[in-house]
Amino acid sequence: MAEKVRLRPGQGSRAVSLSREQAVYEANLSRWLADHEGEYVLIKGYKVDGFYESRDEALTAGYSRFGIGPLFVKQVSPSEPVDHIPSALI
Amino acid sequence: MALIRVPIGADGPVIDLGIWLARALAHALVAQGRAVPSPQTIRALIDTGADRTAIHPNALASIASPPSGTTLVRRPGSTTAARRVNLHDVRLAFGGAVVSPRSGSWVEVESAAVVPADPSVLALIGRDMLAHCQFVYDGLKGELLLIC
Repeated sequence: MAEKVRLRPGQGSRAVSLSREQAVYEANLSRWLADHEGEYVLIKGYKVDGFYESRDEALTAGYSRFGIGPLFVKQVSPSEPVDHIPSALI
Repeated sequence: MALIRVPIGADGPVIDLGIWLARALAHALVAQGRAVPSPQTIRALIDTGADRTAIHPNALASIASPPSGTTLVRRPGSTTAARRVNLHDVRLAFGGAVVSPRSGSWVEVESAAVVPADPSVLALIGRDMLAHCQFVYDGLKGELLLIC
C-alpha cells in the first residue's frame, strides 16, 4: 500500500557523497574516450569495475557485485551537459 | 493511454506523483531475498522549464533510494556556478502510487536530488518525464491535460 510522504522542515537525510567516484571518472576520462566513449562506466569507491552498453546493465551488475547501496554510473563522454532547473534551490 | 487532468492552482500545476525504486534495484533486492520498499506518493509541480526531474533528498530517502551517479545543475540566470548533485534512478507515475498499479504507468527517470524552491512540493517534474506524454495547456479551463 502506498503511503503519502509528508516531511517537516529540518527532517533531513545526509546526502551520500560520490566525490571519490567523480574524481576517479575525471582522472581517467581522457584515457577512456579512445576506447569507451558512449559506454557506461561503473565505479565504486576508487575501483573501476567495468564498462557496459547501457545504464541499466551497469546498475544491475553493480548491485549484484557490491550489494544495495550507492554506486556511480556515468556515460563516458567528452562533455557534460548542465541541467537547468529554474524552480530549485541550487 | 491515460488522460490526466491537472488543475492550475495558485501554486501552479501541482499533481500527485508516485515514486518508487528503479527496476534494476528492485530486482536486485528480490534476488537477495530482501523486501522492496513500498512506492510513495508525493506532491510535485509540473515544471516545463526544468531539463531534468528534481526530487527532494528526503523523499528519495523515504523509498531508500541510493545515489547512482552525479549531474551538474544550475538555475538559469543565476550568477553562481553549476552545482554537482547526486542522481537517483527511480520510477515515477503521474497520479500517485495508488492509482498506478500497472507496470506500464511507471516511467524510469534519472532524477536529481535537489530541494524545490516551493516548500509545498517535494518534486519538480521536468521535461525528461514529460517526454513520455502528450501535453495540452487548456488556458480556457485553467488546466493541463496529460495524455500518457
